[in-house]
Amino acid sequence: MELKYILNKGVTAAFIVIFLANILLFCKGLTDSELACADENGYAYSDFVFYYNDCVEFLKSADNSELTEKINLYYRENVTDENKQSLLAVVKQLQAQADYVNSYASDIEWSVSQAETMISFNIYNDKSSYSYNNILKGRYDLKKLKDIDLSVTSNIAYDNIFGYRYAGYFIALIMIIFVSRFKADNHGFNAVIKAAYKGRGMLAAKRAGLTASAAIMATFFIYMPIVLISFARYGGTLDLNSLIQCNPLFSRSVLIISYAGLLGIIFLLHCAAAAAAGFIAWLFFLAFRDRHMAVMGIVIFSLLEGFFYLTKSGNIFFKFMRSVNIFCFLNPSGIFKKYDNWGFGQYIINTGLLSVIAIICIILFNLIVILCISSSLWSGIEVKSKVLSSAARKIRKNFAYIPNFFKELKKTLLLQKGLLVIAAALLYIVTADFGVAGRAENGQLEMAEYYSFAEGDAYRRTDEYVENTIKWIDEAKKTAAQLQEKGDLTGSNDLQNRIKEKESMLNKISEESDRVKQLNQRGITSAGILDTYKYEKRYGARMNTYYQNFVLAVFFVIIFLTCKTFSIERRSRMTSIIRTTDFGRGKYLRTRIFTGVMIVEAVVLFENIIQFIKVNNVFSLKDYERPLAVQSINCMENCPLSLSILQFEIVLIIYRMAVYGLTALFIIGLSMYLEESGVFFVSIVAFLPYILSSIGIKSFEKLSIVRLAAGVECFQSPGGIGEIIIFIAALSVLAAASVRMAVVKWQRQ
Amino acid sequence: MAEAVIEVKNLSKKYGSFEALKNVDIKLEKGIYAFLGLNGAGKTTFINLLTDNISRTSGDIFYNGTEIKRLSGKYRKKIGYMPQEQGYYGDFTGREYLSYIAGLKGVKNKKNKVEELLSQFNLEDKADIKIKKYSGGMRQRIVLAQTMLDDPLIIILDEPTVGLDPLERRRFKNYIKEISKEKIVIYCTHIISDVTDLADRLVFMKNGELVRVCGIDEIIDEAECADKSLEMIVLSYIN
Repeated sequence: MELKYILNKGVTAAFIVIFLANILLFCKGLTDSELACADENGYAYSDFVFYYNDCVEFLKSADNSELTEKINLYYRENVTDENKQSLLAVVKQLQAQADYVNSYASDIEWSVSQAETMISFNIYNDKSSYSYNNILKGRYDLKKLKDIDLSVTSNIAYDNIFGYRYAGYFIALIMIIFVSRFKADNHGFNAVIKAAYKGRGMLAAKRAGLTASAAIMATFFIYMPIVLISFARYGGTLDLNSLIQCNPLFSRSVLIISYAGLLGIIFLLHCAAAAAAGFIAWLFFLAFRDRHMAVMGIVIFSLLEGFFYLTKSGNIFFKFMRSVNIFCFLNPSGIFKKYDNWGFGQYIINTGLLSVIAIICIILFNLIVILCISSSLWSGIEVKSKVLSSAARKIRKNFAYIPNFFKELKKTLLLQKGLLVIAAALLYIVTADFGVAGRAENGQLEMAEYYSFAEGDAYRRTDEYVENTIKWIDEAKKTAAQLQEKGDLTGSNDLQNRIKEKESMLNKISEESDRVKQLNQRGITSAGILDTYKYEKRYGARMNTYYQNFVLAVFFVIIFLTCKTFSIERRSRMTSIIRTTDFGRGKYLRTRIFTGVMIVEAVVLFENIIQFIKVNNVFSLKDYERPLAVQSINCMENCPLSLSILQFEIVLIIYRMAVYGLTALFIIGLSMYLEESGVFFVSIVAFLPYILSSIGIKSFEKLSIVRLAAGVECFQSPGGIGEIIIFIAALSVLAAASVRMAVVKWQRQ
Repeated sequence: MAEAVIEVKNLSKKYGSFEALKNVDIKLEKGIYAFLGLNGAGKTTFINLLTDNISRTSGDIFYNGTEIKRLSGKYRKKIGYMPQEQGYYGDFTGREYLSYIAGLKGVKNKKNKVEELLSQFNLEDKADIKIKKYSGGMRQRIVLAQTMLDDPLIIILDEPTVGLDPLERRRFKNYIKEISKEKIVIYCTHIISDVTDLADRLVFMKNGELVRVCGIDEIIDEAECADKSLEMIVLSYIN
């Protein structure tokens, strides 16, 4: 019964969104790495995974001393012209793993002997000191690792599972939402229960049980999909019984356990961390009478914990605070990746163990305090400030008579929690790099000299540049020959290498030049040579993934901002009052819909500008100064529109703004009929093709509205433009129908 | 001020197969009409039809001889309506709320009217506090205050005194008496003492039908003749 009350439609919808966000974030991270591999190394990651797992399987029968030989044999037996690159990468990766496995015992032995040597130093003479005892404990723990049997295992899935840091945060968010419902008004039902014999204690005990169950369920639904997706995508289940030390990630972990065992322990620790997060949040909700103050308290607590977690000081206090930190608990795999101790004098404890003990203590302590407070009559602290409330009243008085247009804005921003959504969205857009930032540096340098010379009017100055370079090569060849004659082989070799680089660059410039000439022959007279690397990346496959992530985030902002447009009138029971007024059926509707769309457009425009600046910081577009045709970019060669690059960027933004505006209109109309949970359900159905294609079912990609809204890919071919036209037309029809039906319902009821 | 007359002819409303209102005929002229009936008698449905908040199944409602559907906004401009459930935005202050409704009603001299009502309903001190922090009685008063914006000719009040303390109730009744001289006041209630103090005419409703329309004096006489309490007489009509 209590659970039914807690899990209302809104909370269930929020949990579904969190569940999907977790899967999408994880899958997007994998996809981005795969695309990066294809981009930077020139082979499909799926090929790499296939040969990697196949080779690991092949190595199972081999003795550790034969690993290198077997890896080379596998390469020779399987190499073809098509798979050469991916197979070479597999060989490199597995050779590194084989070297690690073979040298593990000697590495440990070396560490143990290092510890013994250090003990003999004078500075560690004091046998009661922390340093001395820490080394002793290190030596003792590492000795346990000396005789373990390691093998080459398939690590990709495990690297991804143990490397994913966000599962704990999603679980914590679910727990905070869950316990916040304990504070929600339930029409006086809490008061009835509290007045009953033993009601308070029973209610608190029941809720504590529910929180613990919720922790297990949240962990199951957030953590398990990560494990399953990783195994489904990259294999590795055959190594579940192998020791975790087979993976270099856990080279110094003193817990001798299999992957399966570690997965189980991490699941349990996630559950414990979730319960701890839930109980801490619940304590805040009990300690403060006002829910907003409780949320503020949770935010301040999180900031403090974040500060301690990020402070990498060796100081005993900071080290302790880092080990007993909620952020440390929320990322339990991190506990096993390192070997570290904490303590003073002869009292030393492993930081991992300290964290585990701390979680248990925190859970018990919070539980006891919660039960005590809940069983008492105390109803929490009430924070009041006369100065602040007086100032607030003055401000409210001055703004009470602003026109209704601004009051509709206020309803969206404050009553519908729009400001919170905008702030969260901005924080997300500004901080999330979507896996794109800073990845272009090496490539950007490749032809930097040429682009820097040719900047401004590249095509005309190309001949001049080529001429100068050929002259330089001729001179350099002569100089190299002279240096060789003088016996300066190093100088000569260096110069020869520079000559090769220049010649290779000339080839590239020549290829580009030919391509531009072909474009000119097609009638695209304003085509020119561009910084290929930057532009191809900016509009290529990986950036398209980035744009889709961004568009998805924006879609969610729109949904959150508009889904309550009319449901808020129903909930505040204002419908009949507004409808009985003079302007309540015409002007009000127009203002309400207009302000909703206006806020959405303003927010998304601002976010698009931020996104543009972020992308520009990585792949700058200096060539905006030149009105070059968008077809100058290789991947945009088949774009049927006659546009310059700058015009293309503007068209792209206008197109997206139109899509966002129409989406906002559609959802505003929908809110006349549905509550938020209903709107979310419709949205999730609409995003289903995107979700399915993100988790690997690519046949749904064509139907993905996120792909269509991102647009870049569609603008790359005449067929794509057709898709865009159909998409905009369909969205317009849906938006118009939704708004029309809403208006009719409001006016006629 | 022009006199207002509402004529309701053959008004019916069905929700599926359930008949909430059956062929109601009534003429409302200036004065206070108390609509009495048990829960489900059709009072709120009648009010919702009168305010054009729900569609009718059959029948007509005329305001000064013209069908209210034709008058649309012009008719609504004459109405002050307080629904049974308190409608307000918890995060608006009292002053802000009245100003918002005044904007929707197109009230001229909005500021003066709002300040006047805040004073009349004894809400000046709390006018800049969010409504969600008001007590139940204060919320009732602010919702009632919005009814009086733009000086309406037709005042429709559904259970207006619920949540008011005895002092507030007396003040409210005096206020309604004072403003009702040239207006039609339609007043739904369960509280019989409110009716005797206030109403000019009583309208008894039962199972969606008008059972009887009469003056308050007639009911008082009837009670005296039958040597029964007023409450018993009222109950005999509506139960």
